Amino acid sequence: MVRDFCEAQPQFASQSALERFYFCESVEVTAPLGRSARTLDEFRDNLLHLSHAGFHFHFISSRLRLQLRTNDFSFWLSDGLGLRTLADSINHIDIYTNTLDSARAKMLRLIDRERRKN
Amino acid sequence: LKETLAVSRIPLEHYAELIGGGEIEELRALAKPLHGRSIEMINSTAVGGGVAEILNRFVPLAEELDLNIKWDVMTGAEDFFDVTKSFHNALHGEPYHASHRDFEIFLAYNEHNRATLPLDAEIVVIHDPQPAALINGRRRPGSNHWVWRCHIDLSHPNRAVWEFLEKFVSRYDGAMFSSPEFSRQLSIPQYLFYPAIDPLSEKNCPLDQDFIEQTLHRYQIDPQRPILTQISRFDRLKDPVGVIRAYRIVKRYFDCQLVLAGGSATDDPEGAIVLKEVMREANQDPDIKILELPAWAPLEVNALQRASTIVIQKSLREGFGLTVSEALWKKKPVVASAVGGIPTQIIHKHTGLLTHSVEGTAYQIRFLLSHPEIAAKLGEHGHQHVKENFLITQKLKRYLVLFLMLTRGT
Repeated sequence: MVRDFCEAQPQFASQSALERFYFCESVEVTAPLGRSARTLDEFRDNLLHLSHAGFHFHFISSRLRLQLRTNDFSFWLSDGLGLRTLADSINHIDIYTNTLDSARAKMLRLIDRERRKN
Repeated sequence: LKETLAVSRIPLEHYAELIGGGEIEELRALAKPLHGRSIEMINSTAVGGGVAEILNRFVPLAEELDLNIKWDVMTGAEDFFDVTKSFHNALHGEPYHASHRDFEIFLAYNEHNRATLPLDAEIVVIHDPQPAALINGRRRPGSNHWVWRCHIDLSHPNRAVWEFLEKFVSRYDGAMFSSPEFSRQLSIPQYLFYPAIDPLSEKNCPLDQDFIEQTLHRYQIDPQRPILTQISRFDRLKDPVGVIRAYRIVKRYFDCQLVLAGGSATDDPEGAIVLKEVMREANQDPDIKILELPAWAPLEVNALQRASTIVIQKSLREGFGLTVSEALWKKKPVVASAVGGIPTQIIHKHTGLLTHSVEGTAYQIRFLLSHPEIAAKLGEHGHQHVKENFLITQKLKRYLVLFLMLTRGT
């Protein structure tokens, strides 16, 4: 796309920006926390105590691993517990307009609503 | 000659109340493979300045994770710190003609410290340019891991000084910078490391309102009128004179006060000269309070920040500018220059306001004084931003990840 654009609009190809773009790469180190859940209650308890990085790993960066269809939490809730509606609701929490803390708070509210049904 | 530091200790578990138990659990999980590995941190001052402050908190926290860590301070006399201060300014882009003698002094003190410091830890972290030549003390390449932590902005360095330093820096196993913009093209890997504040240190912990009021009373600051504050060393790169000029513009519209409070660091011989320039510019205005705080006056700084209506950081050049994160943590609206690491902390109109001039600074201050509800919102967002990115526990996590990468396979 960049090549095609530059060929079509050569006057922009050598245009200089006021500020540079700095290329970076990130290194992901995954460390097992020794926590696991078998029930929704256990899941809620672990979610409550998860770090920001842990929450980001399972809820945000997992979307790239799962090809943007879902996230680790929704995948397990649907696949492991069969709670498809809850999984969908959690997957629809807007990760662009929420902070990590507010996304987690919404998730906990959705889980609590589900628990009250039973 | 070696100075090994006594550091202040707060149990790691105390941070759980602020950041959540999960963060602590994660730190312990990351630290586990590093148990018993030896780490040595070296910088050039034990008190004053952001680096000493960070290490003073960082080292005991790392010890709590069962890392075998120690902090040593290189020693030097006045001639060494005169040279390194000039290097510091030159690396920030100030005009400077480095003489052959300057380089000799720099090397002589590094050589002297090389002979007296242990430098035998599995991982050696050298902070800033002053001790950079200690890499000469490495027994042989690969015998242990050496990383250089650069806390300053190297985007426009004086060429001669940088070319001199680069010879040493390029022999490290990696270099850490506070922002991609601060880095240079190097042959070694570079890592992005945000500096951090300690929310439980005396500088950032919650304070009784009584103590805040007593502090204002002691410095004859009126709590009933708006207080604009810049906390910084008296250093030309912090532009205290520019802050006074911005205040004078604001003063035409608001009956406010200006507090310029700063300590001094043992490696900054220029402070007294700049302080005189600031006094001259203030011209005995009773609403400008110039407070020369001792090198270590964290509770007073904390109280002044908490009492402020707006916190200013009008630097011309900046490393990272941790005073910005300190103010944001206290939910203060901040008006700051878009230099160095400040734009990483201040997302314009979301966590604070960025400026580029005296007039711009004055305008943004006037805007916030007229819109206190927006000021409060900026402070709230700023607090959350610091919580997620610039607390010492985040920094500890980054170091653990780096150490894991360095020691992988050794």
